[in-house]
Amino acid sequence: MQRTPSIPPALRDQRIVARLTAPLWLPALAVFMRFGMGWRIDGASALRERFRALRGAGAPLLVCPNHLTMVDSALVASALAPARFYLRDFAALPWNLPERRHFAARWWSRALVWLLKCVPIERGGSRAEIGDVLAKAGALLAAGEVVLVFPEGRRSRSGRIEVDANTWGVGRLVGAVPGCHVLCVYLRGRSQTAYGALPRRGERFRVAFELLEPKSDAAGVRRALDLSRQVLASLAALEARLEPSA
Amino acid sequence: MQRSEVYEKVVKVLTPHLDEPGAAEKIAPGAHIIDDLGVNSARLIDVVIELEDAFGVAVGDDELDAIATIDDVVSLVAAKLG
Repeated sequence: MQRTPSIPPALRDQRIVARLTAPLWLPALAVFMRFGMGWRIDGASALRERFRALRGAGAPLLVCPNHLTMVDSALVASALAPARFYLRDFAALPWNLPERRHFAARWWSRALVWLLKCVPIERGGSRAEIGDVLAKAGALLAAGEVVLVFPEGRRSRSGRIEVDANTWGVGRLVGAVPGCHVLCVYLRGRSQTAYGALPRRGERFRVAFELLEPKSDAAGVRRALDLSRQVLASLAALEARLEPSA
Repeated sequence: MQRSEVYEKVVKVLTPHLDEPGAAEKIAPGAHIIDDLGVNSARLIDVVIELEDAFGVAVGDDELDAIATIDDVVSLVAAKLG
């Protein structure tokens, strides 16, 4: 019988503390988003059903959403499943790779993102450090943890999917984890026309999704780019479906 | 191919990707591609793909992570060319 790989030692303690404290912060976060900010996601039931089925299937699962605001990872996590689901299946709560300069610049923000299953990364930083973070993310996927990565690499400056974004991290991750499935999720508020810090209070979101298993015959860097572009193309198609006038 | 020829070809590929003023003058074997020449990591992918085409070699993910200076690129390409 094949043994499931374990979580990298560097992240094991983080996961234990996050899991133990989750009954406090997960419901609080859900209540804040729903009632504090008044955010609602319409049409999430099909996505939740698919996500539950994917968790049951047990394949490595990478979630790749579009990126417009600083809280997109929390919004997508809440679109995928309710807080009570994550309390039962904590591995389903996606790990996130936030930009260090925005989310982990001070001690308290570092502590907060540590608790929220984040592994900060410096966009455009040293290749060795980026490689190390991607290797950790790959190990998490192989260990059955869900990971969320924004394939555009940053919030979309045009407000639309940047299909030609020359990012390759997602492709590298997918290429490194055999059998990795990619759940592309396109989430957008009805009043969102551009990127920003936070969606407006009372925003209502729509969501569309597609499951991919990207493949490429190319090698090395080209392979990673090719796989990344398949994910971006899927998100662009979801955008066209959800926002046909865009 | 001589190491000096590889170096010249690497510089030729790299130069159009230098956006920062004065970066071209900093080109030297020991110049750090990201820190000294201002090529960000996304741009580095373009450079590597052009290098693959120019030399007919393939660069792996881990090999890309190990690239810091122009000399690193030259050593990598020279090793692949045998």
